[in-house]
Amino acid sequence: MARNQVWVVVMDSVRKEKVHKFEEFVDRRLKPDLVHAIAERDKVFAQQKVFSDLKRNIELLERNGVTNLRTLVNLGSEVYMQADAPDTRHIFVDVGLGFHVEFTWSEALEFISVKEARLARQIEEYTHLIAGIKAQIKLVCEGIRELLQLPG
Amino acid sequence: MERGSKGTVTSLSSLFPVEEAMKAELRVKEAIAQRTKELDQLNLFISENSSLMNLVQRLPDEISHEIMVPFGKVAFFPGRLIHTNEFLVLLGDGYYAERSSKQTSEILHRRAKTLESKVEGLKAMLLDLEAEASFFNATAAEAAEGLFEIREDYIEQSTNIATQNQTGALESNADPSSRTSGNRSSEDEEYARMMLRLDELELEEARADENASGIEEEELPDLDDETSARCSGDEGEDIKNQPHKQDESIEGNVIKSLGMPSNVKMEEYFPRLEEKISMRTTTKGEVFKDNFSSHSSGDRAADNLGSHSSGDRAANRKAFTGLIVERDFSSNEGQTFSQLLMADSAICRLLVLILQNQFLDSRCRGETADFLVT
Repeated sequence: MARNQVWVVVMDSVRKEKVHKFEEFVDRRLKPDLVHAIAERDKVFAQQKVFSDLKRNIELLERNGVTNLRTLVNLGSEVYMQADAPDTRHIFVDVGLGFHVEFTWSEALEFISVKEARLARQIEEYTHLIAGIKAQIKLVCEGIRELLQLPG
Repeated sequence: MERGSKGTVTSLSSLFPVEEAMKAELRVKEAIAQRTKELDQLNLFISENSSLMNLVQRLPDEISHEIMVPFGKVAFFPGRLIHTNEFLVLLGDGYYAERSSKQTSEILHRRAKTLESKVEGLKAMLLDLEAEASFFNATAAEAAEGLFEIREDYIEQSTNIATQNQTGALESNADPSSRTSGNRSSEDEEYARMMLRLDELELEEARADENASGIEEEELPDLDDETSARCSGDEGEDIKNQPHKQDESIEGNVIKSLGMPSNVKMEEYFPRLEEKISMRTTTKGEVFKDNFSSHSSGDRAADNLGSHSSGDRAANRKAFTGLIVERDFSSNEGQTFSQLLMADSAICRLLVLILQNQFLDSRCRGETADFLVT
């Protein structure tokens, strides 16, 4: 009888410890991971939007045959100054790692489509990663629930 | 005078649990981190603003500047800045104004001032938060150390009590009901007063007996259970034998010194005084003397009384010799008694205190000590 009780007590403390460990794992590891992954994916989304905007703008230039452009440049703190781009047929596009490549409109559009595909793939990867983390969290939570609900 | 709720002792950790204090500190530290981030951002704005001011002032130096004209975030065209003295400045809420370089730099100047005042406010807030954090930290440390907080209300009643007791003692014939109907009637006090009154009546009775019979040795009048029990203790013999002699000697000395007719009984002048002193004979006449002198000089001498009540109590109980009283008076007689006559309020106060001490000490020793000290 006494032995049984001791056993129960020991089991109880072990279970408590385990639940504690699981909870810590969820709180300290999985949730920050999830937040990080979501932030990364949002970044890629923003990038995707930038490139789709660029694509639309280049298509606009192409359609209207704009060869010179007068625009406003943001000098910072929302102070603008007029700027003149005499030749818009050649455009410099950021291809990553700080490199800018001089493209014509069609080359730029081609590059942008490739880039967009890559970004879409990245987004999908991140979505998978996020789903995986969410599944892990659910799994661990279920484990905790089981530990608490079905004693020894 | 609520003796029960006189003071409170609380451990600091019960008021501020260590974990709570630590949590509070953590929270404040988080707030500090957030404010610090805001401050950093403001500082960034300020530096940006100053560099922009610099730029705005330099731009009109030339007609045009070769730049890369941004086209979206990731693309640009080669181009140049034109109309270098025309700036479009955001005034806020989507409104823009076209300003010259000078006007723009003025606007930027005003912005810088606003930013600086914001930074000042934020710095003050940070200082406050840091003080708070350090307070919480200290509190947590103190609670962890096991510090106690002792709080005692300051009660300005000590003199009131004394005077009330004194008047009670003086007007011993006053109606007790009127006294009990007094506004501040703690039970203990009332008990003490009642016992005092009983004591006085009994003593008077005993003295009347003595005067009537004259010579036979008399019993010391019963005060109350406690005192009688004390009398029947080891020193019972002494007590029985001494009072008569003692009375006479006192009378002799004092009356002589005051120049009174010898047939006038001492107790008619100092009835209660004598009783009390004969009752309260002590081996330590010095303490008594001290008390008298300090009282007549107007001092309350709480310390004296306190030590008397706590330290000398045992000695008082054993020593009922009466010889000392004689010496006490003879050493003090001329000066002390005239002083006593003048400052009889002080005496009464002392006597009342002593009597109360005597009566209360068996019942509530600690409280009496408290009372005397207050």
